[in-house]
Amino acid sequence: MTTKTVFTTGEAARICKVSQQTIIRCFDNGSLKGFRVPGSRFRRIPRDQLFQFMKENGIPTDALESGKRKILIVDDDVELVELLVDVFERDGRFDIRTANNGFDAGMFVKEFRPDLVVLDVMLPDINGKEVCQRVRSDSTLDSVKIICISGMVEQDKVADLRAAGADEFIQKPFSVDKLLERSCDLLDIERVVTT
Amino acid sequence: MFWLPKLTGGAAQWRLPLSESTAAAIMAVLFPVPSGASRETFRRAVATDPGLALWLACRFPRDRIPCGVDDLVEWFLQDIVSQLSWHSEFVNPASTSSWHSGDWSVLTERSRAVAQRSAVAQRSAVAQRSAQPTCESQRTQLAELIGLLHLSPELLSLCGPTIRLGATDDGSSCLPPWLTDAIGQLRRAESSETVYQVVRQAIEEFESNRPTKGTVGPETTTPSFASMLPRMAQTLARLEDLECEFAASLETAKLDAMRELAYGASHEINNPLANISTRAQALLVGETDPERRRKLATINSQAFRAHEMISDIMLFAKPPRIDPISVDLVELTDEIMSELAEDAEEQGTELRRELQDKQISVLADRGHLAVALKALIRNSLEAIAMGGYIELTSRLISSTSSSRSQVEIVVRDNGPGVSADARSSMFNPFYSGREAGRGLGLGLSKCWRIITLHGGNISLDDTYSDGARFVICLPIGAVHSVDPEFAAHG
Repeated sequence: MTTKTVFTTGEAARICKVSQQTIIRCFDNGSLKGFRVPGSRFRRIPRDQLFQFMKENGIPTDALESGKRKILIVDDDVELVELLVDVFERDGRFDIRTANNGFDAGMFVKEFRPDLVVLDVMLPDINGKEVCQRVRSDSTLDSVKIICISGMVEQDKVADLRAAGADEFIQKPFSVDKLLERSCDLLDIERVVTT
Repeated sequence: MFWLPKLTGGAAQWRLPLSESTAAAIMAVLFPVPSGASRETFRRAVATDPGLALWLACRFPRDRIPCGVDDLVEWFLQDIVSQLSWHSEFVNPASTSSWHSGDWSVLTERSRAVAQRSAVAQRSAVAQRSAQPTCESQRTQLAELIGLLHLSPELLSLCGPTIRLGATDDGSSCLPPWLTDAIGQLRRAESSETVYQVVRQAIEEFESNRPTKGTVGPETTTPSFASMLPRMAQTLARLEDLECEFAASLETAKLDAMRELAYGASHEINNPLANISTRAQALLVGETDPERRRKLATINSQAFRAHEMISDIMLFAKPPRIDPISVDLVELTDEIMSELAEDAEEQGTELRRELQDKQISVLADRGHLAVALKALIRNSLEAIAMGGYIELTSRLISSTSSSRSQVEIVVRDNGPGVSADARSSMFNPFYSGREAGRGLGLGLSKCWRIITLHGGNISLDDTYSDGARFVICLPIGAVHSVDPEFAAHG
């Protein structure tokens, strides 16, 4: 339920641990934003709006956040990491960790057990290809998906990365929406509903 | 005593002497003066040294017959350095003990005299008959050459194995067939051709006024031009080789440097570009003001444009793999045209397309081929700048040997065309014909690279003057057209 992108008032009530009436009242007075299903009067609340509502009203968000998919973002460009964190946070369905080098990345993969690693290939210490190989050599990490991102443009190196176990390769610079879509596809969750 | 580079026929070798004056004349054309006087000096040397003329005649391409001394000179000057190659033979000048310098002088003196008289006689004979001037000069030249070479077998016999005329040609003679034939006709005295008659008369005349034997003494052999010439020629040849090597290694070095740059740039520049682009995209999400949205979108698209440029450099420095599939050219051009339609419309340029065959399939890498054609049309768009038209035509060229069929794609525009300056380097990735700041101009290089990777070629039609007309020829590969008409012809 918690990876859903849109909730009914009943679902929202259960997540917030309040009555459905309260949710409906807040929806109707505008403090909880959402939309009505076209052609009917059913209320629907997008995930990000519900998250914002819970934050504003001091409702613990664990229920919404539990079952979040874990994602590890690895890039030595700190600013880019920050931007990517923003992107995934805005979606609201991800529990995010970051690393700025290959060593940390390797450590976090074991510790944090992410569902998805967004991995820059050119890292200052261990290169991305090696990180891929290490992840793939550990059978307990079989379910970890890897999206490599890199500024390099050589076809053969991209092929090498795939051979080393990367599920996807995205060229830098990239479209944020595309990155998010690919991430959702790999994790087998719904693509983002833009409100 | 010094020698010209050896002549060979089968296993046999002949070495013709190199006189001081001939060496000086050769030196003059090796290091020519701009006035053209060097060439004249050399021509005179050929006309007066039967040994040199004979050497040239024997080295002259076998599939051609020289019409005279001028022809020999012309041919030699084109390829002078590679002809003047002694290899190791000059290192030890041959001993002169067996050299019959007296006999040589007598024979060459006679050849020289006969040549001069033949030329003069032919000239006056033709003048009397008032033949066409061009014909006259040709006949005079021929008479001179045959006169000069009429003792070739005797001259060669002094310089190596004896040459016998009329012996079956077993490839062991260095004389070219036309010369053997001409001397044969001359000696059999049966040819009624005026040229031979003229030379025969000149020989008779010479015999009747024979100068005292031995008036022409052997040339003194103080080492000078003749001794220097082989080394000079070798040095020049080496220099030419070096120039060639230099050009080749410069090209390699340029591409290597470009590749280095592209490797570095792809990482170092694409990272900040990713940062710029991602940031713009992030800002776009929360932005509602249309003007600010437009600006942010521009920042994003420009970052991608810079990225594309780096990819282009890489494409040139390190050719990509080509994954050929059967590509429907008609569909592909449709797609490209519609992608460019908006840009064309914006600058008022009409995009036309004419397809002579309903369906053309080529075996090509679809993505790369699209990039190449797009780059070519974009180049025209940018050249035209405003108004005008761009026309794309494609057709199959069925060759008689059906396996080598090609497709010809022509992109024609009525823009300003390509200047003579730009023509020579327009496919060079380092060249930009556009003014500074308007981009790297990698479009045509990119197109050239992709087309050549497909085994095709692209060229600019030099004869077209109403703009630019680029012609791409692409082998269609194993896939054939399904056009019924073509099938009927093919």
